[in-house]
Amino acid sequence: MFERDEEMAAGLREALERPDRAQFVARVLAAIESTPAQPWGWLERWARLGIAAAVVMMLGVLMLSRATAAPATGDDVVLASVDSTRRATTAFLLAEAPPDPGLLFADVVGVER
Amino acid sequence: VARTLAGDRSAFGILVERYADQARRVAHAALGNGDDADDAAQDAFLRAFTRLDQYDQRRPFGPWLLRIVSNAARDRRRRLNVRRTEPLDPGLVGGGARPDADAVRAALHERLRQALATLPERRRLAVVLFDVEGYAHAEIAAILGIPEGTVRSEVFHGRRRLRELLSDWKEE
Repeated sequence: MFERDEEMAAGLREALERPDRAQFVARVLAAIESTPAQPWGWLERWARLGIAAAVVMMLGVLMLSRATAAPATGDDVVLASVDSTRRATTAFLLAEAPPDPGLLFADVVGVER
Repeated sequence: VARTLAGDRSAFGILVERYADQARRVAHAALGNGDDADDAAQDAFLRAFTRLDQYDQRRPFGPWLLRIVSNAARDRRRRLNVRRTEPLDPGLVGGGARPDADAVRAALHERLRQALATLPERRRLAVVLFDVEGYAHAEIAAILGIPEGTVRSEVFHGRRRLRELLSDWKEE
């Protein structure tokens, strides 16, 4: 089933053959000769490597800082935060007077008053 | 490859000489038009030259180059906004009047090209890479970026369709 079909292969090969081989090769070589050298190619490769390394380092630092700076992590903290936000939003929407900018700022930056 | 990477541009000429026919045939199979195929093959050689440092020298050069050829042909098709294959004239593929003996060979080639053009691009490339260029299924899978099983299926269905389209010619 997957033996090569020699008869079809020969026909297709001839059908796809292109004339003027030497002319084509000369044309390609001329185009290559006129292609400018890329002395900065190595820089591009190193830049790609550098960016990848920086991303990995940033992720590592982020994970490390989270692990060390957030001792009280867990579902309860998340739920408390969600609940607090919901209450604040409800209060804000139901208030008749505009909010105190100081309070608003403190809320945004997370300072408790 | 090593000499080219060391700065000897003329060394790349050896690769062009060696792979020019394959690259042109594969581009021709992909695009259908010979002139566009040569342009795509040239683009591919230029890309291969500028990206030669990305080539893994432990692997064969042919499949790496032909993958670039296949991509270059696809890019050219997009750029030129090449028309999708139009329905073929039944007279061309399905058994028109047979031309006189002197033109039999040329007519057969034309019918093969027309029949090939009825296949989806990936299928005709799979057939050409397998039957004409002699690559293994695994290599074709790498060239076309598809699973090996899909290559087998494409070759099988492509051949079957070509045989159907050319059956009357063979009977004659």
